[in-house]
Amino acid sequence: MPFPKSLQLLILAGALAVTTAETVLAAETTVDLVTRREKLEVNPGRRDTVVTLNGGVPGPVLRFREGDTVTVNLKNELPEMTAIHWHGLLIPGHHDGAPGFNGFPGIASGETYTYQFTLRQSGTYWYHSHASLQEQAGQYGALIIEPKDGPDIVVDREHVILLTEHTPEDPERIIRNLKADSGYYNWNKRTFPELLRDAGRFGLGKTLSDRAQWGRMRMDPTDIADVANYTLLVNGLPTARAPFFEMKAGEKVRLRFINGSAMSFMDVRMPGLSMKVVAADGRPVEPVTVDEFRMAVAETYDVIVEPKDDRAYPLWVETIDRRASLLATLGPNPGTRAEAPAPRPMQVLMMGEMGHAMPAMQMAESAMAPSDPDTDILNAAAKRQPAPAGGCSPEHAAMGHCSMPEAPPAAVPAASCSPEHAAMGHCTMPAAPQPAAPATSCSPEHAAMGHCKLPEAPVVPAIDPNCPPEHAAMGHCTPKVVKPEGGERVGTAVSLAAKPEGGTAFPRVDYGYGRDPMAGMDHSAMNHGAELGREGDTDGSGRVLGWATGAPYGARVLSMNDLVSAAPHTDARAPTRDIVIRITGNMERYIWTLNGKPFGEAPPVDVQFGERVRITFVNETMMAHPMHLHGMFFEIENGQPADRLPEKNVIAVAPGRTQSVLLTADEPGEWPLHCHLLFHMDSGMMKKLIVANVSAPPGQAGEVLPKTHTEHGSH
Amino acid sequence: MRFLILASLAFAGPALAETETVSAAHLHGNRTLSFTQVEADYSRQSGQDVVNWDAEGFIGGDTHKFWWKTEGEHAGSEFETAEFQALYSRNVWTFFDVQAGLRADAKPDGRGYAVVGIQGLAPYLLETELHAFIGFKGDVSLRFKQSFDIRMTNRFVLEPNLETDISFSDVPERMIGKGFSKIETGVQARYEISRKFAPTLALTYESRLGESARLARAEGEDTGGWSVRGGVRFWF
Repeated sequence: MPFPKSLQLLILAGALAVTTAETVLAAETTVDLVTRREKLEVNPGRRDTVVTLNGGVPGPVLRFREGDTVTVNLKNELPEMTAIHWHGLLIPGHHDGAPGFNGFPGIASGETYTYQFTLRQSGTYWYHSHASLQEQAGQYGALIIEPKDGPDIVVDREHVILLTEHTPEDPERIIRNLKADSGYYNWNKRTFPELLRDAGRFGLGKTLSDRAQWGRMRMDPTDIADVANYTLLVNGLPTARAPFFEMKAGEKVRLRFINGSAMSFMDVRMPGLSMKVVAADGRPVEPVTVDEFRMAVAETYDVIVEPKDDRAYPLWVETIDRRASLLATLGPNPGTRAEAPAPRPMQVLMMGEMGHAMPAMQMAESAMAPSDPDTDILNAAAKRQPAPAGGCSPEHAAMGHCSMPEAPPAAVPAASCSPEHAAMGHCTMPAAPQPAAPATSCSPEHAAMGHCKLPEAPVVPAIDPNCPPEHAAMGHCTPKVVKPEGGERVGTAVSLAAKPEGGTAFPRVDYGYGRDPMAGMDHSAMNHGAELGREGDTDGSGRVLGWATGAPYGARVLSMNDLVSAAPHTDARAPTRDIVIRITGNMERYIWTLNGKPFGEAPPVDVQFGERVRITFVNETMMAHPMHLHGMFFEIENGQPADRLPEKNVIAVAPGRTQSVLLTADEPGEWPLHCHLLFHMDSGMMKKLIVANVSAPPGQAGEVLPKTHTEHGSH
Repeated sequence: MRFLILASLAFAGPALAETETVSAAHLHGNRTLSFTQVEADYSRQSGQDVVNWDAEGFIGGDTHKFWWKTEGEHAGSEFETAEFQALYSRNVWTFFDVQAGLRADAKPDGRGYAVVGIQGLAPYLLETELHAFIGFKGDVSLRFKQSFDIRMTNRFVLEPNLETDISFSDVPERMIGKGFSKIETGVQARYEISRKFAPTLALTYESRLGESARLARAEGEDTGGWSVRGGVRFWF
């Protein structure tokens, strides 16, 4: 079947409202989908077996309106069971599409299942298979819901940008390869010649000590993503098919980004264009202006761009392991092709990123030993800790139980602030340059390379005096600025506008993917051993040290901490208790678990209907995990005002970090809580969260805790 | 051979049953996988064509596996050694499995052993095996294996390796005396054309040791020495 004209759209309910090849306008809110396995020419000149929806990869863009009652008939022409999950939708449990939950058994081969739900929300969402590994093979699509009173932001044009990845390999083969050799797809491991180069640069002793540390841990510092050989696709098109999005100078354009990939965190940028992030995971947020943003798997972001010139702008997307990229063109003429910017360097992980987590992990283990890990509540650990003065010991803080009193921010006299220190974010240089808005002719990348000079930023408003960016970058605090006066909020993940004297080659980037549990503690006392260099330094082979590095100085990069809900929440109650979900696994054997147990071997998490709880994710692995909850939004505790915490359904937790979210459990049912890296979920990184009217007497294991413990949790 | 089949049934049975109950949670986690790796090489030693093989594999889930191994040597026109193991393997520590089962030797003479041991990845990324063999004829021995990958490039790998047998019994029929009886060590170079297929070239020193070497010499047998071995390693 030729591609992409092969999308056969079937609309029932009498009205045959086939509009374009890619869009189903749900004037009548019934959609028919057929899924089957077939050969498709995704990459030119090569036919691969994929799982299609209505003949295409991706499936059709489904457009609905808030308040619509939607009926979707899904016909399964696969030889095996299937199920489609409506990602991010508030939905009755048995229509959520997760087999094994809410009595939904999945859709057997040859059967047609009818999903029906009434839309209680608007925004950018997507849908995808939740059965076996069909999502990796192509069973996904975008789902857009217009607000019932018309668009929330009036724009001249909008595009859906569904980013996914394609592999010619059978996903079933991929998981088998990973189980046999977890480094199967990593052809970028450190080599002996690299060891010699590092020895030349950092000294033999330091280099050997670094290698010995990794060897002792039996871990690989180049293990950033598990799977390779991916071709990135935008709306099903690889770079080789020159994907194009029309937009003209002076227009206001809404781009609905969806990371529908199975395994790839992506960095998204459009050199020359400022992006204004206006929604995350479908929920409106206060606008944040950025040059780039990182997308965890399964996240969606809506951004507004307003091109000044009629020219071809590149849309450049790289996976964070830098092994796959995508170039698309935005501009007025379909014939033009934008040029790709220089790709980012590869990273090498630092022992400190992982090492930070180790003491916390051991403590967590010891504290949790006697109890069931699944009813594990921070209370257990709290009881063991003698309450220190101030109620927050460093150990306690390290476990994310409480916040250390803020160190005096940025009050360090200039004389005691060396550039090295400043670069590490330990102090503030006097008159430190503030993040600047790049001129269209001088991108931050270019400026960082010394090709041009960024113009002086007028003023940077929107800086919380109690939380300068340097401090925020260390995870010590989060700027609390909901709406700056007379200025725009900008992405704060990179806090330094230019490389300081003696600074690292690349700045530290804090994507806000959780807090460093050791923040506020004396790092030098932690016995991390010698790192090769500082985060952001390059090693002897040009790899950058640190998980999150690569963005240039001065770039406005979105941090999770920048997200502020556009509308205040109705429920800003304090949580009744903390539920700890430790993100655990055995990378060597490719076994991924939550609280040390694979899905199916652990009891569910029970939450009372209407209860408000805190869920704290403690990442004890050296990979980042996008944690996703079905059926409800949680609020990210990112330091913003309590009633304006951003609502999301995916939260990424960086290696060795801890992130908490608040959940008002107002949707009854059985909801999957899982890592959205497909092969992690498949190997067991999932839990069942049950929201029900549980009437167990208080005091029983796993039930509601006294309220006092919530005081520990204010991060 | 019947012996082996029985052994595999005895040990695979509980493993498979376990997987079945776990998969009640279905769809996610614990699928049953299989893995087979074969290494074989050819060398010319003391005027003879020598072929060595070393193969192993498993069937099972993350925790419980049926593990099998075979290794041996064919020199000139006959098999010098040929042994087979059928083991139940259980993932007990993050990086290590505990294994127990049976070993049957066809050559140099027919013998059976009970096997207990561990297999996994030791600190400093050392692939490690340590097994005890308790012979049904009363002979007891230990075997220790370690290897390590040095990547010259991401495809060209040098692997230093060591294997040694320690006997706690005298086995005159096999010219084995108490103590360290055998060592096999060297460096194997492999080029990973794919992860699953690599030609190999190894410089290996294989020799009887101590009392075992003395016994062999007394019989007029070769005690071993250096060899260059060309072969393949593949897995699926």
